[in-house]
Amino acid sequence: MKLDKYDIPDDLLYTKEHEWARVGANSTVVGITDYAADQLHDIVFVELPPQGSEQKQGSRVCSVESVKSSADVTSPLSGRVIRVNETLSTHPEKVNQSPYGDGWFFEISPSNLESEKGNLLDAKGYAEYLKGLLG
Amino acid sequence: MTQVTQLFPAYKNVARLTEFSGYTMPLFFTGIIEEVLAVRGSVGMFDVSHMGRFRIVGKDAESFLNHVLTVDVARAEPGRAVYGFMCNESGGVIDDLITYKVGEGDFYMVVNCSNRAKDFQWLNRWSEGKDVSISDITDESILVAVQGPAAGKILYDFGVSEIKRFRFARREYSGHGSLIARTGYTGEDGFEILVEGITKQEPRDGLTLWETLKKRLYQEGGLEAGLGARDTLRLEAGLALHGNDITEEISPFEAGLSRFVDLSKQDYIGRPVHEKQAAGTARMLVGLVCRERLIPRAHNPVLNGGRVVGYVTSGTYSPTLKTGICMALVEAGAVGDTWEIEIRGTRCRAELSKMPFYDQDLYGFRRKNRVEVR
Repeated sequence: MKLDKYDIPDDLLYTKEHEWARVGANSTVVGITDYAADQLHDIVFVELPPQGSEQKQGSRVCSVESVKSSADVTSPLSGRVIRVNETLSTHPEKVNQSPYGDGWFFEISPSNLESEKGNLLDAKGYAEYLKGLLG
Repeated sequence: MTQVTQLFPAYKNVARLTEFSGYTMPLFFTGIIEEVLAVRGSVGMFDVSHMGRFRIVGKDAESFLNHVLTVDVARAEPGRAVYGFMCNESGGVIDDLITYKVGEGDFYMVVNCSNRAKDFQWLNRWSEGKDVSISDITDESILVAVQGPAAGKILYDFGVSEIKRFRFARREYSGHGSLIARTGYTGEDGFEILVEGITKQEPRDGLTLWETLKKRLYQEGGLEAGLGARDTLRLEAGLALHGNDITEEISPFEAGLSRFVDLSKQDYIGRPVHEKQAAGTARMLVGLVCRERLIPRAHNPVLNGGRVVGYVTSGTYSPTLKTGICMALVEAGAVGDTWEIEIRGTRCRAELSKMPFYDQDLYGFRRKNRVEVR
């Protein structure tokens, strides 16, 4: 679905911190939303979490730097980082160009998926939340 | 309620807007990086009508200005734009500004948006009893900056390509008085055009100027640009921003800007303090380049030899250098080579840099590959 100019794919789950999670059978891919990428604009550096590191739902994993601001990325789920998008080290602009595609951040093997999933928003819920923010 | 400039209708639907000192202004049009590169590579145009503009006239105007400013406007010839400071009695900077000398009793002044009311009050306080009248013409005029190596070609359209850096010419534009100055805040060649008699009620001729300039800009491969690019460009050029790098608590001597202070003038506000500071100050403003993939921001602590010696006054990503850069106010004694900036808990390696940060053979108004004007 779409809210204003922002894409909000129906098959993803979202956090109020503007991360998305694509939940697969064994792993979950994480990135930041179209809205977050657009707000930061001109993303110039992406810090990625160490591969194999353990992350906790809602805690800081890494950060994004744009020309005029910085933002922390929090993990939508607890688990172990099994893959990171190395391309972002050399091409951080991918986050602006394709936040739900080539601009993904990392892949996590969730340790507590079933109970934690309920803390995330679906596309409709995130759109509602965003609508409130945009006023 | 925020204000907008007379040119707001020209970009309200196309620019990403931001609030700045009570004004809703363009943050960017296409993107900060693209706009910075456009200004370094060809040309960019900015609405800077939010900046305060004063007209100062009267028999005593020159002697009055020489009392409130650190620079000597009496020595300047008519047609000169003079950059300088208005300081308080402690030598700190109330504002940095450009004074345009039309004649001995006739000046224009362009000041920072955020200091406009304060400056106006200060000027009025010191002009009491003198034959000087100061009027704020901000709401009845516009100011547009055209900046970049190709700006000179556009200046040619106004028939004033001959004006040299920090000089200005007065021309009529569509029946309006205008002042075209070869000045700017990007480090590049360029000009700023002030057009009088443009109000929010009657902005038409101002909007026409914007559209005309825009067409010429596009022909040169240029872009409209916002405050995001403007701030990044001025920092790349090592130009201080009042409120960050110079303040009422930071003097021109600490900021390394003593060349804009004329101690040969016998009397101006702040002189006794400046005279002492000329011998040396406890703090100094330096340029630092960040060697890691983080960007320094204002207030980040700065370390030298592992010890905190100061803080970042302004920081940004530099699209020209492709790295984080900043200005920092540090202890004058901190001269070891190991510089670090603490950015959100991480100590990043940094290096002292000259300012401008860029290679002046390649960028800025002194560049070697200048654009030829017919």
